[in-house]
Amino acid sequence: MIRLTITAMLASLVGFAVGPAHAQWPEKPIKITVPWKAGAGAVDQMTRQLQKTVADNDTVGQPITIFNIGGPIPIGLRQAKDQDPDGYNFVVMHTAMMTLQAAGKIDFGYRDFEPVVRLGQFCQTTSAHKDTGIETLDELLDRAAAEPNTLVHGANLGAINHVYGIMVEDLRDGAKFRFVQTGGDAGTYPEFKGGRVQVAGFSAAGASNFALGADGMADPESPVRLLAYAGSERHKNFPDVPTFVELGYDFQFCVDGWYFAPKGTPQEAIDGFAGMVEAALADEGMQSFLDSKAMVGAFQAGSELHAEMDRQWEAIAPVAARAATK
Amino acid sequence: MIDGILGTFTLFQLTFILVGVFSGIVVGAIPGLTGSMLIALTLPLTFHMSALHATTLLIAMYVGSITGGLITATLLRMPGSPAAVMTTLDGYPLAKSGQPGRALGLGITASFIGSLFAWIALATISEPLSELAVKLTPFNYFALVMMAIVLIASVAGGDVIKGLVTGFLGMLVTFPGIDPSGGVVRLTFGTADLIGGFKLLPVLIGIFAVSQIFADALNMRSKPEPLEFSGRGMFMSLRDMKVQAVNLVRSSLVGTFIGILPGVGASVGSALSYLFARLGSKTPEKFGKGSEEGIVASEAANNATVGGALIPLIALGIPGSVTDAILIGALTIHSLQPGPLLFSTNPEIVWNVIGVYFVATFVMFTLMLGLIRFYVRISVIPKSYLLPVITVCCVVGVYSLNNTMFDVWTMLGFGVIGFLLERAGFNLGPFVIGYVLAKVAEAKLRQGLMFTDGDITPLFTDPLSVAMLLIALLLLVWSLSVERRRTRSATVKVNESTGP
Repeated sequence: MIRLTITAMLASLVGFAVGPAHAQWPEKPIKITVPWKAGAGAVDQMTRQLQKTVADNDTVGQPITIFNIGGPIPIGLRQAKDQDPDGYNFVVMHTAMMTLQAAGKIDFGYRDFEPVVRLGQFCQTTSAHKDTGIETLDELLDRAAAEPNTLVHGANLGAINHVYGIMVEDLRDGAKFRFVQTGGDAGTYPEFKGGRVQVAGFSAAGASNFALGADGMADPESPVRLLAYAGSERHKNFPDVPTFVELGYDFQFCVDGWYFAPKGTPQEAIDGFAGMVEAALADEGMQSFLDSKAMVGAFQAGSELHAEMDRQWEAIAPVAARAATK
Repeated sequence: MIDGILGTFTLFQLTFILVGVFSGIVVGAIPGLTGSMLIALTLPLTFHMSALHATTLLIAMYVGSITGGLITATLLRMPGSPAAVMTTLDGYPLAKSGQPGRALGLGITASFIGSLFAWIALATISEPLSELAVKLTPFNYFALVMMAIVLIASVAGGDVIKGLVTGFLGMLVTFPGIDPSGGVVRLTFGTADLIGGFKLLPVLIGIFAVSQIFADALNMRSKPEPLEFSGRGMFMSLRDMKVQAVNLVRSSLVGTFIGILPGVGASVGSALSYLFARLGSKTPEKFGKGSEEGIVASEAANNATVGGALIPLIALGIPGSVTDAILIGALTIHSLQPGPLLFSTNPEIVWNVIGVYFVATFVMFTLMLGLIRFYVRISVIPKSYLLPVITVCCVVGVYSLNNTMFDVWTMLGFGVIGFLLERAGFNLGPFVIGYVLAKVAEAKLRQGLMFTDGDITPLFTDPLSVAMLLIALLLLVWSLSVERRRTRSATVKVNESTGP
């Protein structure tokens, strides 16, 4: 209850702070480009929830329109980058901004945009098939080091969950998984269930969905054994699963949902958009949406956001470049 | 379960189903506009509905749209949606021969029965079926596709060489873009837009609908030949049912099963079942020239894939098709997590999906048959009015699929290619088969090789794969020898008639 009151107070404060900018920005509908198909993935849905929340609460007095550009991400992302920086064009993107650039699939990157705000994030997990008999992360890494290139790790090659898998194997000298193209959570799970994939890096939402029973406890019928969670603290959906840090590894891996604007967008619009997102995060509907996707609200803007992106780029770029050539 | 189905009979629910199926049929019938697009566009409207009503509307649209495609496929030789491509091959010739009512009626009834079959599977054996589907290895998929791909030779329409050429051309078109296994960009020649490759909708609508628009436009001077409508044969008689029984059951089963397999799709389902029907037919030579079996096979199967695709969605939370992926999006917007848990956490939603699918199938059947008299008139509208409208729909539809102009250029380009190929006497059937199957074949073979670290022997030691590959080989030999015999007898006849 106290927490709710505080969030409500914060929300009103934010409302206040956005107040003055209100008069100038926005004067017309705000367009957000999603560089992939409508309805697909947590980050598209997050943007739709933002649209709904902002409309329901009349946060900025103007509606948000969402424009999905299908096909692989580079196509839509390039179009978004070249849009008019008039303060009404934005694009939503996640960690793939880094992996795509490092793999050479786009010849531009986050520095060619104006980073605006981070709304939320979800973190990855590492799981092993119960048939392998592996029960802890250390056992997994030991096995991967003792018998390199035998444990099959499902992934979308060259993409985020592949980069994640490589970073996990890098935690132990000589450990190597055999990466196989299975796609994201939805594509990997059938292969996992069929027993062909032994290791997977599901998102927290995927892990909750595949490993837990209706009562929220680990499902004995499920083939998925969760070994570690790459967030900063344990996830409330599976409180028994330790974090990598607890297990003695200095490793975190979360996928951020970021909003960008084309280079040259007025600062007023950037601040206005960030304020709008911060206000939306205090909304109950937004919170329950994030909960349902096993995501957490993680507001970040300004210089902190820039610094965090630089940090991620340094960590991810070399691995993503390796992933692209594997 | 009964509750779930009865629940769909409230007036409010029925209105949603009616609206959904009707709009689905209309959108499905218009070349270029597809069901998944309709569903994606409706998605924001459902935010303000309850989860129950949202799923009702979307499922009804799904059922309507997959059926609507047969209308234009049959009457204009322009598939309303990619899944109806195989229907054009026989539906149009049959309609042209003065039996449009019959051609449509067969397609509609087959759609209905295919849908019902898949519903039975969905309502009764979802779980074991999905369990079975996840047991299949990538090599099994590959062998399955090989079985179908060799049949390109037999749909070539008399000229095996020409059939192979168009078949390979279809395969070639799948190569550019990000490759399905390694995620490596290939054959884009530096064009950023080509990263996405040539996509299914623009290619198929281009090859079939746009090429037909070109051909029709050139023939505009010649007098239109209005199709004589007679209601005769619109309803399948008991005798028809008996004749088509095996075909109906086989096609529905093929469709349902292909639907269950993630990432394979309705186009492959109808292509496969068409090939099997031709194989099992006593009159295979009629295929492509107005075969009733061909229409039945294609339509029963493409409708069955819808029900089939809902099976892994409900049992495992895995989308069986692109449209399913959007449905999952719709569910999560309403804070529902599709997956193995959905049955225990939100049983009412699951039974609602199953119930709605059932009711929508009947609504679809009634609407399609009831409106047959109206849409047969499409064929008497002067082409000078009809073609511009269809062209606009194709362009708008293909553009809005991904919101990129590149897809529109792709469609127009393939329209020209399709037109030229037909002019040169190439049959377009093998092109579709090559195109839709090569993608799956490549992805599965390479995925299989990754699993085995490059070892191909399991493909030849696994009993299921071996069986399918052997069948593929037999089919190849058999169809080539049949074709050869046919060509020889044709040549003999020609010689006799032209001889001194």
